[in-house]
Amino acid sequence: MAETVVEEETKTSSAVDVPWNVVVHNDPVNLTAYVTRVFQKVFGYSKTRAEKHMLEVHNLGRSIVWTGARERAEAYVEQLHGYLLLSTLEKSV
Amino acid sequence: MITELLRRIGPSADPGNNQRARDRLYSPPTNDPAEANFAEDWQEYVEPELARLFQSAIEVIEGDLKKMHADPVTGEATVSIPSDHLEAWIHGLNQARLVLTERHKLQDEDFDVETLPAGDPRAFLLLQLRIYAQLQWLFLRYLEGH
Repeated sequence: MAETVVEEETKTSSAVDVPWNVVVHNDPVNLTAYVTRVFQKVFGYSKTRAEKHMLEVHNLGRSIVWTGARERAEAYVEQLHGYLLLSTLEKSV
Repeated sequence: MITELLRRIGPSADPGNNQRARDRLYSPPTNDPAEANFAEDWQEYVEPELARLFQSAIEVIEGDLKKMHADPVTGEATVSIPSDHLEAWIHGLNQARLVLTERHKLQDEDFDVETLPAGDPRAFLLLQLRIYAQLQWLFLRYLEGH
């Protein structure tokens, strides 16, 4: 008797690329001019945009400085840590 | 005085075994408990790279300081900093300020103190932090073309 092989079609939920935020947190030591320069260097932001994020960090305690694919976000967080900024990766809600 | 403060950049930037200072230099890359594996990998693979990066900035500074020479007549010391070393100086000064702040558990309000009572042990520390910040600011201005 022939064996019947039932092939089940499985539906894999592929990990949809959830956007990730790169967040920079305030600290009382880093100079505002230094933070602005780091944002310009790491993200290539204009001085105006870099200052906007710096002021958010300074006044609100944190700023989402970049949002996008996880791998790139991790690389940015690593660069920011290299400049000694307090930075974390978080899922974009 | 300034010469001595410059020579202290390297030792001041070294967190040694001070946990607060180490935690500041190697802060977590995530606050999400669900990302524990990522945080572990970070400690294993990224932190050693960061340590090498931090050390290389200090080595550049100490290399420049070794070439510092004092005028035998006036006693004034001169240190020449190549412009391509400024990034390392900015980084090293920043690292020293962060480590000193954590090592001595300084709070926001400590930085607002205008004058300290004579003999207050924080006086020299605050002077050191202010001079490092001033140098950092000057170097940043230079790089911006001012």
